[in-house]
Amino acid sequence: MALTALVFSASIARALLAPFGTTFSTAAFLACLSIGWLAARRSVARQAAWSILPSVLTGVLVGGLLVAPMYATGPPMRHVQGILPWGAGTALVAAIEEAVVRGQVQSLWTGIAGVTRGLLVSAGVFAAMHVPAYGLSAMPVDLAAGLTLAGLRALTGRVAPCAIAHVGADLGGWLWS
Amino acid sequence: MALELSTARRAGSFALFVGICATATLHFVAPSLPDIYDGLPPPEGPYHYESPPPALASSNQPALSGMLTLPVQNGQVRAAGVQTDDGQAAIFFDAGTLKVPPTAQNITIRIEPLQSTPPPPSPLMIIGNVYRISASTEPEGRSVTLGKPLQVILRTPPGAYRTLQSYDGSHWHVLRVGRVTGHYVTASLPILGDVAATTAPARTGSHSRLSALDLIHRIQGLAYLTVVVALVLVGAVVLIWHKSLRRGS
Repeated sequence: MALTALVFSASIARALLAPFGTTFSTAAFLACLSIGWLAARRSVARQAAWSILPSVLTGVLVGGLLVAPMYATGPPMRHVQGILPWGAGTALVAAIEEAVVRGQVQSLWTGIAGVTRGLLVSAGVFAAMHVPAYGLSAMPVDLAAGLTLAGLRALTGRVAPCAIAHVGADLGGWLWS
Repeated sequence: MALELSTARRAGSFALFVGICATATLHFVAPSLPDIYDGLPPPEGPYHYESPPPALASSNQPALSGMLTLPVQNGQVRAAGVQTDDGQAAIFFDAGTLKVPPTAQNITIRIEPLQSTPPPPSPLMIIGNVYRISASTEPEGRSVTLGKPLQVILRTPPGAYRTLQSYDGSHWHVLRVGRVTGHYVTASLPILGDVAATTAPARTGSHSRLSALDLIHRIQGLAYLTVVVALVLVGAVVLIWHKSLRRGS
């Protein structure tokens, strides 16, 4: 519960700190999530998981499926120029989000309330944590993406494929936008 | 254990399937929704000024306009988005936002940077470009109005802005600002017209009266402080909770 509250607080702080610059607000957000991750990492029980290779391939496939609808309606609009620094920052944000939301929030809630509720709480937290920064209009698509990534975590038992799918969807979305 | 594992995988597979179907459906049903799930705002080049400050005049690239023509089907225009070619201004609207005459076949939506516009009420001043957002029927050229507000996203140049305002041809109106991502500010635009970011010059006298905007900024400052304190408290709770769990085990 405390970890979930920390994730929400970090999201609100990120939105409120936005006028001070993206770097500062995102760094504060990541610092808060990292505190939560460090504090809760020993509380999360290990679970049976797929081996690495099929997990990674499934992550890549799911990332592709998340962005496929965009590419079905038109080709990429943006050039890859400038993607490296932006992509590195985005990958870091996405990986830490996955480590906390899928790796810890979902696992802890699964232990408390069962697989299905853990999965739904994880998707809800993922959608709600983006509202302060991206607005209510982003909530439906974040809820759907959150459900997808939570399902991937429950299916594979690993966080890595969720991070791969999340980063892939972010990068694919950026190139298309 | 095996039963729990199979439940987890069944639930996971089902959630994965539902999530991917929902993502695809949302993209096609509501294209005005943002597609990017998270991350950082895209890297930004220099701001393109329509009327650059003297120091930037030599390196400035002119601000660009944007245009989109859409068909009118059954008296309605579908949900869509339009942005300027340099990405500094954009609008998004749902189906039925634009009120079109029943005889219209197409409408054209334009976003154009303006050279000059009447100044906003003192002490506010415009920072960056003023963009005219307009829509007209094709080929008649009749003006189109809004049935409900649309979303406008404006890039602001470096430096503090106070708010976004719109000019309806006679008065400036403060817009309800939504999310702020980097230098991109989203607001709800109830009428078509000119849109700009505004700021106020710094006060020099210590006896100046506190304006409503200053008050809002001070309240925001307090809000930041409150959030930081709240985060520290939540962090402390997490640590205490973690230690109590370790003691328990």
